[in-house]
Amino acid sequence: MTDTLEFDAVTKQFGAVTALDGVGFSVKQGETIALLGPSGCGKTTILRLIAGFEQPDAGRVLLGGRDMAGLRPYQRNVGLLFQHYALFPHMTVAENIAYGLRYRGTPKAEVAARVTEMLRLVRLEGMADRRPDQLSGGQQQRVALARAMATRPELLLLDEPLSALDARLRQDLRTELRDLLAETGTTAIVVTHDQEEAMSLGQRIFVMRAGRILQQGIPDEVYWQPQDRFTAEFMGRVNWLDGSFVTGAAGPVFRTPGGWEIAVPALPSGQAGATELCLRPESIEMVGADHGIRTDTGTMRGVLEQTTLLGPTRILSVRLSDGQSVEVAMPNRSQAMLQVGSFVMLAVNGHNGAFFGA
Amino acid sequence: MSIGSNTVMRGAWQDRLAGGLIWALLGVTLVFLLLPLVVAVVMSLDSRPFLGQLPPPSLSLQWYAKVFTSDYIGPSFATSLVVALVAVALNATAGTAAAVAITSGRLPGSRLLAQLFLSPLVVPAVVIGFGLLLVLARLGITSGIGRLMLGHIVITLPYAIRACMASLVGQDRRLTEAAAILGANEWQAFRSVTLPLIRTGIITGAIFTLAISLDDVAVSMFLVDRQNITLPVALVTHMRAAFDLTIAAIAVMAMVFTAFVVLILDVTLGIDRVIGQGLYRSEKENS
Repeated sequence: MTDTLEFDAVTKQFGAVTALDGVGFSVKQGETIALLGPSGCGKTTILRLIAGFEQPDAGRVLLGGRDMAGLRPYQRNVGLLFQHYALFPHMTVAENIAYGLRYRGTPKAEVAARVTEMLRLVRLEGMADRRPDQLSGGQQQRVALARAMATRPELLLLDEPLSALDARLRQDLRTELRDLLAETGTTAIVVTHDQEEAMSLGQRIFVMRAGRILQQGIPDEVYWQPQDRFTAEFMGRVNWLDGSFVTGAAGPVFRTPGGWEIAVPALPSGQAGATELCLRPESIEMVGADHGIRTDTGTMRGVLEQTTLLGPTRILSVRLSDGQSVEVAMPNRSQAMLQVGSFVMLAVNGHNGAFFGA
Repeated sequence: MSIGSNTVMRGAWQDRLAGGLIWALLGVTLVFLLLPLVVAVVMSLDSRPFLGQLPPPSLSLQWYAKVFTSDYIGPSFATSLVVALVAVALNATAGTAAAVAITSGRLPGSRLLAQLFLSPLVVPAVVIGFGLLLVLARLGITSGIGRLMLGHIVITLPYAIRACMASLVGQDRRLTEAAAILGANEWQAFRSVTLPLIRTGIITGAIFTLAISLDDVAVSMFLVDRQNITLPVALVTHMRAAFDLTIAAIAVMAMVFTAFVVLILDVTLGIDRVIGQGLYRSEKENS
């Protein structure tokens, strides 16, 4: 079966700026992918190329196997959810949703039925005659979604779908959006700079930077096995430990200058000179106060320098006895023993680490 | 007494003085604005056949009667109306198109074009009139009505474009993109999204066009010929030739008509919106 969308070595320049540099990827039918990256990385350009607002300088964009070259936006069957919704202010909710159907020759009776269906789907029954400025931000976002999906597009593009909403609403709508996409079997591309949004909505994530795709994979893979520093840091908090990889008594280990040994699954093969271990804060656990009894593989000791509360988790900054500093994430349950300045013992799970060369 | 409180006290009487001055200035301005209108109304009702001292000893409607009986007013009013309506029609279409093109951001040199289109606003009317006369003669356009139409379009188009641009600038370009991705072609998107949102700008431009065209003397003076004289030019010419207060009567009638138009606009659209940027933006501000 052909992929719903295929990018074939697409390049796009804006003046002297290369927005996309030979980007290639494909999206399977029914799949949701997330394009993740900072502003200016080219993710919005991809979206605008698919929509037909821009034309590629080189390469091809294929939708359902058809080359889109030269096709105007209205000649493509693509839905787009705009960041700030772009609802038509002079039309009611129902008229907004019906807009796309109107220009696709859908019979009147069917338009009415589809509008009702879409309103039910986004849980806005009874709002059909409201105007956009009478709706809350979350409601406007849902109308925009209903409008984009009403024509049953081959591919739905979502441009920072939740960024204009406040934090609480964003979490609710994120779940809702994911369920809706799954329920309708919609093929979708989510463009976002928010790694949480990318991980929760995308079945695959494409991390982008400076017009290129750095890494693609399922969220867990991109999160735990980043292939470069940028991806590692963009996906969340991360620790970099200096040291060297050696074969210890019980197998391959990572050894810090202070002599701590952390068991790793294998010695880095491709990256022969790897001297850094990348660890997420949640791969390190605070076991308790340090009584200086023993030094097993997978344990480290240090001084608790700072704690930062982030609601459900607490971030501990620990200065290891070899001078390196690490961040430890722990569930925010017991805080009685957390005295800044006290010696603590850490347990490290090196199996979720990633390796980097110097 | 501390310095602080002294300063506050002084601030207070200075504020009062400034406030008083502003009110006085407002009052004087109002008097200067309204006095000519009052004089015009009084003069239009003068019963004497000559320009005498105010107030007139008795009142009459003779000048109003003359408006409808004199032989030059009807045809010149017809000319004025035709010229104004042609200007409105052209400005509403070509002016809107120009405004859309300039604000689209895809037109190379659009800033220069915008300046060019708006330049008649800063060139004196007499210069425009004289210049047009010379240029049109060169081009072989010698008919008075043709010259008047072209001349009035030149002086009114900037207002129409400007009013339209103001309502377009407030508009989100993504709205037309949204229309396009939903399946509307350029023309359909313009009809269903852009046009309804800039309607107020177009109407404002049309009102300005109508008002300026019907009022103009300076430019028209150069462009009229014997068969095609606009009403303001005809009135001025006649007043010079023979004493005639018909001009006062017409002024009062125009005033009443204008007040009526303003009232209708206020009731239907809201006058602040017509003068302001555009329907969409002012709706947002109101809510």
